[in-house]
Amino acid sequence: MSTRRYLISKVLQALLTLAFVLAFNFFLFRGVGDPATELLRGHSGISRQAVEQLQRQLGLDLPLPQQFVHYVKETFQGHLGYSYFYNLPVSRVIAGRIWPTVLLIGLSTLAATALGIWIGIRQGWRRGSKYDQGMLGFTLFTYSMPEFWFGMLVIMAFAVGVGPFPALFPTGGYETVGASYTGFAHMIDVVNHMVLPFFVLTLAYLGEYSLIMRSSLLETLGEDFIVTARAKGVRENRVLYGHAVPNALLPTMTVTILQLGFVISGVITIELIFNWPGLGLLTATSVDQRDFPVLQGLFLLFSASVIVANLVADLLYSYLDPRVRAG
Amino acid sequence: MGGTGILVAVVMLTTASFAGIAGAQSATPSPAKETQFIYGVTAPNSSLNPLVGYLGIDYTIWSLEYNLPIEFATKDFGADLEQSIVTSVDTSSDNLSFTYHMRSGLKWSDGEPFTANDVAWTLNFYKERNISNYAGDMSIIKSVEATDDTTFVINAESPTSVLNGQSVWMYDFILPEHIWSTIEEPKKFENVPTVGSGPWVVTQQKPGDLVRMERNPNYWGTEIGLTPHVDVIIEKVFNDENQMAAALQRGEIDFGFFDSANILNSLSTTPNIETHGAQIPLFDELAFNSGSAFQTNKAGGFVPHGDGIHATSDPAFRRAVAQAIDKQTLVDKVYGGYAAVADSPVQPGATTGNWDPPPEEALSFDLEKAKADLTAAGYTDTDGDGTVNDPETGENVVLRYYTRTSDQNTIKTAPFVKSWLNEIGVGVKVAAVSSSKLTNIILAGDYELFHWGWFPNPDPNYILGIFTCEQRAPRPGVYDNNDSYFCDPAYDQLYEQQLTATSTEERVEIVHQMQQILYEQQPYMMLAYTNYLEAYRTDRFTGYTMQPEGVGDLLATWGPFGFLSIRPVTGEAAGEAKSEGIPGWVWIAVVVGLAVVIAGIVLGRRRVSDEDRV
Repeated sequence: MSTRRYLISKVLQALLTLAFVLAFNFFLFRGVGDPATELLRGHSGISRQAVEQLQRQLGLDLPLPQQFVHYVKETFQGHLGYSYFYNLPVSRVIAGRIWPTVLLIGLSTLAATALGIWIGIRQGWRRGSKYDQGMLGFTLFTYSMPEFWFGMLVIMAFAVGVGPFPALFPTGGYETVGASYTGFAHMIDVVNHMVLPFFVLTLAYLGEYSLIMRSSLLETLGEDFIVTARAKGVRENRVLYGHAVPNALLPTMTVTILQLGFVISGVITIELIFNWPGLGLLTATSVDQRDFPVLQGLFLLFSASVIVANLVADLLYSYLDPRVRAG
Repeated sequence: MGGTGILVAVVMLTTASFAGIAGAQSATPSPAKETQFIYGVTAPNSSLNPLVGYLGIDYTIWSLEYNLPIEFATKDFGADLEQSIVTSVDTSSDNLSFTYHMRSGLKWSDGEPFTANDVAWTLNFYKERNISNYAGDMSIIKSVEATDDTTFVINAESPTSVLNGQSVWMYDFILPEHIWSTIEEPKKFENVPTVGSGPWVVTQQKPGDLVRMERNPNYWGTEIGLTPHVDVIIEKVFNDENQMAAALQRGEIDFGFFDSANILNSLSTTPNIETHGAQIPLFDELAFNSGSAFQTNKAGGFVPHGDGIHATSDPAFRRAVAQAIDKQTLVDKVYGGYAAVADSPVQPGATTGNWDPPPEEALSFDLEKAKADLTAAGYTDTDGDGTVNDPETGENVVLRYYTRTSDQNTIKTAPFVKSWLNEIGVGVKVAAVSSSKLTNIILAGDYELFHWGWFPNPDPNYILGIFTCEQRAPRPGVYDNNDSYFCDPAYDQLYEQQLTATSTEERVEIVHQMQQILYEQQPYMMLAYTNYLEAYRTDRFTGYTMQPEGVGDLLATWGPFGFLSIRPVTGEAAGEAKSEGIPGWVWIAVVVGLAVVIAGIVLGRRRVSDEDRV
């Protein structure tokens, strides 16, 4: 298959997937109940007229096909709709949440990738050593540990301060509420708020990368070209970093790029526990509030970022390993 | 790239990201120190626009930004003409026309004059647009006109006492005409920054995260001694209550509204923190389907629907069952003591007349009496299977009883109720469903019993109105408020009469009769007046004032007076925002140290590599 045809087919596949997601989103959220009554019941001021007024306002009085056409048309014009709950444009609700999520999840993913690869390389190179065994146990433990539980322990220890643990960091949030810090002071404020969730997430992601890197390196070390390099008298350090690691990095790289696609969707449990005002937290609260337009907007954004990350991984992989393109 | 290379890249990226955070902020110096009061809530605001928001926390903010024509008194939700924009009301002899006299020289926060024209424009706007938050109040108002800058006249549809200024009928926030009359789609107006007339106005909103309010420089109240002691009020949203509790313990917030009694109890033993269960208009009920399938009264276009069983349409059955519910046990075991036993939907402390049954008429908890009353009404176990049979249909009486997955108290109540009802021979099938699903079940009339609650206005008109025949869901799927399908023409007549009673005393008398009917017929088995759960730091602010007096909400959120009364504990410092976490220089030392270590490793490796090449 020529490079051009390969590229076109991959991009088309991505676009088709996105179109499917767009349609699926619409019907998915309409299966969970009438938001008008959900929003209003129990409060003073509600009446039959109020519910009907809200249904009209939300466009829920129109037949489903008409709602669908309207939805597709608006989405293509860049309008993600109007939040039922916040009574604001969806784009305005979502926009303010992107940066905190990208910052927290992006940095933890990068840190976990770097540390994980580093640990994985050292484990693979010294297979069976005490370091390998110890790290295997540690990374499996952190990988399998529920993040929300670990997060709660970390808050108790380092934010509230229990027993010998000092209350060093804020309990959550993105910045000190009510403070008007600017410049460097603001940066330090955000860093202080991010330390605990960053720590929890990095530990939680670490195992995935180190385990993949370790097994990938072990496989590569058994290849003929490694034996050849050693037979030629190449130094061990060079065998590792010049020959084995570049080849073993391919699977880790794929996982990393795919994981970066998920960065935007945040980590709901962590954002909830640390009250981190990102997209994960917005997803959780929007589910609670049956806020279809916000959920539709979020799912579209999440799907698009994963699809784009897949596409990038496909294209990059085909560039780094031409066998993929040929196959 | 080797492992260290990746580490170096990550450190560089991290540094770049933080530089980005710093760069995203303007380099303006921090403003002068200001007194801040931060309160935490467990759900975000629905809107800061008073035409569309509907949550209690939205009303709290509007109460600080806007004025009602007559404010709720902190003491008892009565009319507080001393501290309102309206100072007196003249009633015409036919009780149809009401002349309101306002203070002079009032201003909006943007400096524009605030006159009777704003009041007339707002009330007419609410009526013409049929704004649901205010439609109930407007139903009795025919028209409003400003006769001069400080006088407006309200003409009523029929003679009434509710507009005579002796109680707060108009829970209607007055908006600035010069802002709102120019907006093309008022319901889509974000309303930030706000132009208001209250002591504080919203200057910033991060949807779902926080709302910031700052002092209104033109607040009229300072002239009558209503001087704010707080410069900035911040409402901070926490989506996890444990997190909010931890923030309160650390002093990141000064006050929090909680949902969980367990968390409040755990906070009550923490130094410098006080907890409080506030009695406010808020109740939980077990509602019967009192006849959606059997009633023939066509008020409101009602068509019989649903498959609710016959027994719950019989008041004698409902009264007997009501005696099998031990409300005190529920208050203690389910609500953790943060509630009071309830008998009427009009709560004690509401402005216009709570009624409680006299002891001889009370349907107290007594399983033997309940069983005897069931037998007397014909509900006996005719087939010997342990469950009573309906005298009309002969079938076992088994109630479908719904709880809500979003409210743990409803779920915790169910086992108690089930065991009590089983003891008197009534079968129960409990199911927990979402609020949305339960709404559909209620509108279809496919239930016998459910557990829900209401957050009524202090005036009883609204909550008593939900029991009128007109407010039954007319057909499956069409919403209306009368979720117990209670319908009694005598009750409806009293409802109309209380609206048109020409003296407050006469109205109270009618409102009492209505509550008595509800008690005797038990469409709702009232369970508990549930509390607002509040906790606050004692070392930050003082001067909290409860509404109603001595038992209610510490921030008196039915008006601005609670927030106006709080002040920092020790001079100015207690109310300032405080920095959190490790100081900046420590972080610089950490980053520099990390960079040195990494550089050392890289250089060391390079040296080894050079040696390899030799």
